[in-house]
Amino acid sequence: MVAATTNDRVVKASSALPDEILRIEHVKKYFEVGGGFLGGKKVSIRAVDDISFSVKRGETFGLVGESGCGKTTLGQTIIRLYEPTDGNILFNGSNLSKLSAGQMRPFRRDIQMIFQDPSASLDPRMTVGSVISEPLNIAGIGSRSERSEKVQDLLRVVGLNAYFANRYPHEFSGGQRQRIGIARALAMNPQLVICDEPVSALDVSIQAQVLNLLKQLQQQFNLTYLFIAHNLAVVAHIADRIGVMYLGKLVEVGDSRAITESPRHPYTQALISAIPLPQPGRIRQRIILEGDVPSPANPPSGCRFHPRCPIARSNCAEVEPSLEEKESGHWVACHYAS
Amino acid sequence: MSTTASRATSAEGQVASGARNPVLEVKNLKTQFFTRSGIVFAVDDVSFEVAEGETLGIVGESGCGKSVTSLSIMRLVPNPPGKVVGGQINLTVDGKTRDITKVSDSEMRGVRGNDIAMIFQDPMTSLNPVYTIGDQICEPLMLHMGLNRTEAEKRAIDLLKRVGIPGAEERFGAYPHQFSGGMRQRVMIAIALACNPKVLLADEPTTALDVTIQAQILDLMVGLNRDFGTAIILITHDLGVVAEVCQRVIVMYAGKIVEQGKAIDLFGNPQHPYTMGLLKSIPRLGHDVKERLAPIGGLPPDLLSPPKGCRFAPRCPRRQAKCDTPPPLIETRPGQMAACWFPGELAEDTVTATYIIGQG
Repeated sequence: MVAATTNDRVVKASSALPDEILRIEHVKKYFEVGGGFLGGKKVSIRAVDDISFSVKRGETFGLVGESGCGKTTLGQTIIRLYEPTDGNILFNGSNLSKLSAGQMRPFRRDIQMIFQDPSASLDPRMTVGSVISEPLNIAGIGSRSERSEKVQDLLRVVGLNAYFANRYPHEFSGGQRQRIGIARALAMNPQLVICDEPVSALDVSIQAQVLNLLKQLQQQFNLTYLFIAHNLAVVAHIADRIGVMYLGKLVEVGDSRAITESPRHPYTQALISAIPLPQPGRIRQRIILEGDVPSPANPPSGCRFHPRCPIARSNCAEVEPSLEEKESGHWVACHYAS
Repeated sequence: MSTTASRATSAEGQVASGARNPVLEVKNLKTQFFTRSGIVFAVDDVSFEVAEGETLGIVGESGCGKSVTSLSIMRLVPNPPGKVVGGQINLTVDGKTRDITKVSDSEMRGVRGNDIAMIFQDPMTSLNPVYTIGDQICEPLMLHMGLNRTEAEKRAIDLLKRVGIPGAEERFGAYPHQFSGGMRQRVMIAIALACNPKVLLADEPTTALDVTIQAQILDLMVGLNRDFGTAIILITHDLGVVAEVCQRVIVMYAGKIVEQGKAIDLFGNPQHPYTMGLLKSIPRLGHDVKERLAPIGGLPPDLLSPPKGCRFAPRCPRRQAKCDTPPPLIETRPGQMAACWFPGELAEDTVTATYIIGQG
């Protein structure tokens, strides 16, 4: 059912672009704050500042970074929940950043989103069935009975009972609600699913269930994931490639294995060494970064990481490093990366 | 059941904490919430002790009773609907032991912040936004230690320096909103340490923080435990955090202790199937990243009507008829205790691993 239709569309689209489903070129998103009625100085928060990367069809691209690094803003800018300040968002070759709201609509079917907080992203007054079928209604797909059948199919696909369709979100646990959110995202047979912290609100045992489900669905429906999370261990578990963000910039991009086993950017190295591991008594070198992440309203000059960087030299404060390919497929934005 | 548990606990204490004296002893603690839908057995017959200068971790998932345990120790369980219905909490300060479940409210105010201090998960909601952080650190110093304002200010600035706040003198007059999350948690720790407490209860102290900031705070806590000998009870859902900080660990599930032991034993040789399940559920760096996780199937039980026997039984791959009787917490390896009829590693584990990939 769902798989067949998804595959048809994937085949058709991929004839034009065999490999790449999403390409982000120099995307910027600035938020203007202050000024206005109450006065005060107008400042722009540079939440996403000149980011470029591409996502291959069928892969999982992980975006990882700490709070305020711009990973969520970037995800929401890609589906135009935020208007990009600058840059191009190419989805199957079409530039989404230049489309009007009406032109954008058909693309919204192909790109779906799973949110962090499953209790906030489901309407408490709608039954699970109507939550999942709402996108189908809006798009006018199928008859009433076909839609209801599809809802039951989707519930089974995400590991819930089909008769849950008549219940309300509050009757479910966090993990089950997240499964409902996933079913809703799959209703439109999307090609790309943006998962924004999909498991961070869940307990570890439930988190593992949902991660396994996402992996299984990816194979079943040939999905591409943009997986956004702060937990590098979670991202490394599910992603094929990872981009590490710091203060609105991509600082390192590469294969999951390369990023986790031989990180080159000093920020990535510190991030990995800071993850507490469930192995007591293990001896390791821990890099503890000093200070806090600076404000994106007034980011440091040059390399944004230089005030906290253990290997910074004088020119790091002046010259901003660009993302360079240090070895095949492994990009690093650092003047002195190992 | 209760006799087994308390006997076993004292044996464990000797193994893990050597000759050190227990500073806090929780015995058969029962905390319940009386709600409209019935009685919630949030903490059900929990016993453990913490020795001077020890770091004890209490881990478990949401609703397992770990936070209610800490609130019961502080006598901060909201009443109604909550109530400590049974058990003792013996606090030993300067050789004198008293049961703080029995002391008067005014005596308890002398214990809180003085003998036992607490830090909470969210440093923004636990600091008062309309007072400067300096005022908030001085308050316990003047209240419990009888310092005057000048002395209190001097010590407050010392404390701020000790927890690593740069420019402590200038930051003394700042308000909580002027600090970042990590800095606020440092302020909370400074307040908690102000009166040299014997026990520091830290309830998810780093959960709201980013991982690089979390590393700073954990480092600070380990240093304070080493330098001042403050016993720390660290309550968290994060097994990694516990492994970094704690010498001894208690695993809770559905209001009960299911396993306890030295961190190195518990992580290396988990005895209870729940602990094993938790460890298999965590994605780890360095493992084969494409390896499938083995989550625990199903959901934790509703504590309004917990299972009659072992509370983990409905989700347990090892369940047998015997599990309808509650298992006592007994020593299953030297210094390690588990509440399970079939503890430790079993030959058929490879078979059951495929079974537990269940559905929520």
